[in-house]
Amino acid sequence: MGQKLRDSVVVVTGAASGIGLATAFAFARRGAALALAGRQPEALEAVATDCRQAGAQAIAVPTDVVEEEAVAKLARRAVEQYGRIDVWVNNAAVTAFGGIEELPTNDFRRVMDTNLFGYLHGVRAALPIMREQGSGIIINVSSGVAFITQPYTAAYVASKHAIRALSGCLRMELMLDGARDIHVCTVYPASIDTPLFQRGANYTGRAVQPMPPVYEPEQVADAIIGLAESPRREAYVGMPKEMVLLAEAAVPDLMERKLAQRVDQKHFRDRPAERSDGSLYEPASRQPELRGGWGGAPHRGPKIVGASLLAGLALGGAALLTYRNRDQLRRLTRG
Amino acid sequence: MTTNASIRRLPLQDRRGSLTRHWSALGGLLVHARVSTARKTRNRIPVVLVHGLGMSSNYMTPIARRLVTDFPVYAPDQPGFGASGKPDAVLTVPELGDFLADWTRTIGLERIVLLGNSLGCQIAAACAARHPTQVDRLVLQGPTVDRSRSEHTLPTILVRWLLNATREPSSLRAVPPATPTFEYGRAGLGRVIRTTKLMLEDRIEASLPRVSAPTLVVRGGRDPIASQKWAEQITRLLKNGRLVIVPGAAHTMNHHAALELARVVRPFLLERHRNQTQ
Repeated sequence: MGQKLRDSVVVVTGAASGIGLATAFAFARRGAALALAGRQPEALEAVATDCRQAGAQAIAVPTDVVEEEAVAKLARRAVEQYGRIDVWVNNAAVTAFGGIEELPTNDFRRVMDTNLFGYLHGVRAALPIMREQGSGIIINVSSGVAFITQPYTAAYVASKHAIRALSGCLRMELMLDGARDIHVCTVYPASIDTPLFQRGANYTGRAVQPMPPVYEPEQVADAIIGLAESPRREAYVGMPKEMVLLAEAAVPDLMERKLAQRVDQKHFRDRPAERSDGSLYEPASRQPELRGGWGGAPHRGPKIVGASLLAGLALGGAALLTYRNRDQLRRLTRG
Repeated sequence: MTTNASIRRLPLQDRRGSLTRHWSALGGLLVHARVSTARKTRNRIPVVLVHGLGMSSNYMTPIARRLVTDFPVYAPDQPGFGASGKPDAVLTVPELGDFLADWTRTIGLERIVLLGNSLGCQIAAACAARHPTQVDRLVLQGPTVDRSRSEHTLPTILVRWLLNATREPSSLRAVPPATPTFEYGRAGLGRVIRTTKLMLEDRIEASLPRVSAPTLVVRGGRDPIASQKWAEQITRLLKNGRLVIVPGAAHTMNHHAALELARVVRPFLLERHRNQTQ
C-alpha cells in the first residue's frame, strides 16, 4: 500500500506546523518527494531536514499563500526540482475569534485571504501542470465546521464552507472537461490538537481552547495519505457529517441553540486574554510546531452517549416533522 | 480514449512541436538528423541531442518535441548509427565528440547546448572538453559509465540494462520505432559491440574537470545504470555543475520521462538568456 506513494511529488502548504507538518512527515516516511511551503524560512528548513533524514527528498519554499505570485513561484520551483507535481495539499489556514460586530474587517478579510484565496491560488498554480501531465490530485483541508455554524468564529467558518464549495465546483468543471485523472478531494477534520487556536487572532477578551473532543494531527495526515493513495470526494476525521445534517434538517432551531451554547461554554477557558491579531499577518514561531498542547487523544469516533443523543434527536425530529406536516402527508397518501 | 464533441474541452497545454528530417554531408559521410521547424526560436541557442549506445535520433523524439517550442533542436544520427552513413572504422568517444563539433559548425551553428543520454553524456563531455568555445552548456542525463561501483563488465551492464527495461514502459508503440532491436539491427551488431567496448574504455571523469560550461546533471531516481552516488560524484567534478533527481524516472528519460526532463531542463537553458539581458 505504501509503495504507491513512493516517488510521488507532493506540495504541502502550512507545512511548518500542525496538520501540514504531520502530513509532510507522513509523506516523507513513504518515500515521496516534498516541496514544503510556509511563511517562516527557519521552521520550514528544519522540517525539510527532518524529511530528508526520513529518507525523502525535500525542498523548503517560503511562501505566503495570500500572494498569488508567490504560490505560482512555489509550483514553478517544485516542477523545476522534480519535473512534475502529483499531489497538491492546500492546508495553510488561520483563525480569528471575535464577534462579527467586533472583529476588525481587515482581520476578517485576512482570514478569507489565507484560508480561501490561498487555496484558490494553489489550485490555479497546480492545475495547468496537472493538465499537462494528464493526472494529479488536489487535496483541500476544510473543517467539520463546513457543515454547521458557530458563534465568534464567523470568518473561519465562512472560509471553511467556501472551501467545500471551491472543491465541489472545481470537481464539476474538471468532470465537464473530461479530465478524468485529475482528482479534487476535501478533508473535514473535527477539533485537532494544533497551534491554530493559540495563534489565532482573538478579540473576545477570553482565552480560547479547541472544542472537545480533540483529535491528533496524525489522524488527519493519515486521512490525507489515504486520499493520495485512493482519491475520494471527501474524508472525515472525527464527527461524521450525516448525523449533524440529519439533526439540523429535523430540528434546526434546537440544533442551533444547543451548538451556540456549547461553543460559548466549551470553546473558551475561564481566563482573560489580551486582544491580538495573532499570527494573521506574521508567522508566530521560528520553530516547527506539531501540536498545540491541547492533549488530543486518538478517538475512533463520537462517544456512544453523544451518538445516541443525536440519534434520539434525529428520530424525535423526524416524528416532529411528520406531525407538523400531517395535513399535507394525508393529502399525498390519499391521491 | 473517446472524444465527445459536446463536452467543452480546455486545451491541454500541449507543448509538442514538429521535427523534419535533415540530410547533410560531412567529409563524404551522409548525416541524417531530426531538426526543429519552429521559426520563433531563432534567437535562442540551439540544443543538440546526443543519443546513446546503438540508438539514433528516433528515441530522442519525445524530448525533442517538448523542447522545439522554446529552442531550435537538432538530433543527429551519429556516424554508423540510425540513417547516417557508416564509416569503415568504429568511432571512439572523443572522435564522436569531434564529429558533433564539426557537424554543427558545418551546418552553421556557432554555439550549442549539448543534451546527452547515457553514452551520449560521455560524447557530450568529450566534445565540451575538446571544443570549449563551441559548447555553451551541457545537460547530462543518466551519465555512464558508473565507476562508483566496482563491477562494470559486459554481463553486469546487461543485467542493469534489463533491470532498467522493467522500470520503463515498452516503447513499441513509438513512431518512428525506437526499439533496441530495430536500432541495433540498423547499426549492425559488430559496430554495437565494438562501441560498447569503447564506451567502457572511455572515462567521463577525465573529461569533466576540463569542462567549464555550466552543466546540469539529471538522474532518474530509479535509474539502475547511473547510481545516486555516481551522479553526485560527477557533479562534484564539474567546475559549474548541479544535480537534479527526478523521482520515479529511470535511465532513458529522453524517451520515457520527456515531460519531466523538459521541465527541469528548460529553466537551466533559459538562464543563459536571462543572464544575457542583464
